[in-house]
Amino acid sequence: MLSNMLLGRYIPGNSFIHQMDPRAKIISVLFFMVIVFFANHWLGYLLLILFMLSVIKIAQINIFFLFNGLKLLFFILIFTFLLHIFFTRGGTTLFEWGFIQIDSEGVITGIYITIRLVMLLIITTILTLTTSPIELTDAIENLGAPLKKIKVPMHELAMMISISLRFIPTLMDETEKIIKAQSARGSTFMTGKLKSRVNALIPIFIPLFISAFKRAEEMAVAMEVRGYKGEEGRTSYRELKWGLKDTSAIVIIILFGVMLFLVRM
Amino acid sequence: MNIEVSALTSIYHHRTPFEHIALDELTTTFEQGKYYAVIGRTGSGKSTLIQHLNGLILPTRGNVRVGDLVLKKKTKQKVIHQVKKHVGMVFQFPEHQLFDETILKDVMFGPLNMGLSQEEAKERAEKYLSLLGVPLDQIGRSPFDLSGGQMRKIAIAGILAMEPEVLIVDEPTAGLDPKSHIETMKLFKEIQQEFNITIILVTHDMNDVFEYTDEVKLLGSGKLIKEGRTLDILTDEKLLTDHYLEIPDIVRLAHDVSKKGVALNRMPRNTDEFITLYKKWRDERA
Repeated sequence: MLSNMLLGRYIPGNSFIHQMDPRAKIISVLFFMVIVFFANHWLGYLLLILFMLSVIKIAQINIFFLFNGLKLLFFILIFTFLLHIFFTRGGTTLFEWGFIQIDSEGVITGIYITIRLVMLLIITTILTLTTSPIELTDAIENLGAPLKKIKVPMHELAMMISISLRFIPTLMDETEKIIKAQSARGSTFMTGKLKSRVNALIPIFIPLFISAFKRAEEMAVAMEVRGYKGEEGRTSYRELKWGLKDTSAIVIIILFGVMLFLVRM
Repeated sequence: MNIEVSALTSIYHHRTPFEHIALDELTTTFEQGKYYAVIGRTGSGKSTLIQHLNGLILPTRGNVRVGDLVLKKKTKQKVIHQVKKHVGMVFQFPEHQLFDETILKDVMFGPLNMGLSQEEAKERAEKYLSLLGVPLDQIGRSPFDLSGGQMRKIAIAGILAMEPEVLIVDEPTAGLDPKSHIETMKLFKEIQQEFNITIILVTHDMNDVFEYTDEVKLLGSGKLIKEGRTLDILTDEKLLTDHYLEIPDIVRLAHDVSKKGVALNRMPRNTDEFITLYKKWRDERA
């Protein structure tokens, strides 16, 4: 189950989007997140979907693979959808039974909001699928450079992000091992009553936390031993290069935003 | 209780692009009361095989029979839980599974899961902790205050307290100092003889295999290459080198001295035996 998760995973490739400067990608994603909220009727949403499909195409990501990886998040979407269906009033009443009432307005808003959420999920997933964690943190540090003036420790924040990303697979492996070890001791968190299942999580989380803390300490020592002292005097092996395709990508996304704004009603 | 593995095939990520055949039509038997070693180079399927023996992984095809219980592709959790009562498993670095506030409580975890009462579980925990040489006035302490070697002992006690008839141990001496290494290996041998349980040892250390085990199963690329008496398999230098395994030091030594004209009566299993046999040979010559 865990191996299907796409969240935070990077798949190397050679597409236009893979080659873009990570800063350009982050800026585009931020723009897109705003643009998504411009759409307010069917034409806008249709344009959004078409735009998204072409981005997926350009990034050379298999669309089934993408949806498969986001499956775990579907229940959040369904939850939002139902919330709108049951609680938004207006338009004609489609269905009424006891205290349950479904209005046409509710169904429409439900669909729209769900599309928005899917768009946001997909665009951020594409960002992480096409950008290696190192590039991503380099870009965050670089984009956040102005904040250093007001004493925001951007370098340290970026380092924290890259270390956390690096340890996700390690912790997943560790979790699997501990689950196996405890279930060999007869722990049953897959079956039984809810209470006993929740109790069965304790023998999994405690060893996991302990090993995570140990790892963190070892890592900190290893970094100090190799002379790490924060940003001061540090140079970078990878240089970020802003190119023509980055500028054009930003221009395209702004034009798309303007277009969506114009079709608003 | 015997374990019969028949035509066991295990495929990871079945029907995906990452498909990998870990075990391929493997058939073998583990008999009650014997000390087995499962050997083979990294990636030969050792770990996968042992995880099948107590239901941590279920077969893709074929089955594993533990006594009367059968593990197949779609075996229910209830049956698997039963199997776990009979087949205990000590993982690599078992000290990583400790979690409870006190040593005693941690050891009681397994027995309680098996459905024993508090008193019975406590009795068992105390029995096995003292068997492993943990002083009973210490068992109210936190397991996390102990040294690595001590923590491992507590973790092993936690498995023994479930009183399995078959005990699987995966690289039990990894990361231990030489003294703890010998102690741990001796302990398993004693337990096996005293309680007449089956032990299945997975290790890369051919010296341990040669000194302690009765029988060997040699795996290669998910298949059973050879099984038989430890004495026969671990003295077959060609077979071992073909599968990237070390020849036990004592076997090499015995071969070398025999070339120099020292004819020992039989193959020694450890250094002490070697010395005894050597003395005997010298006395006979004198």
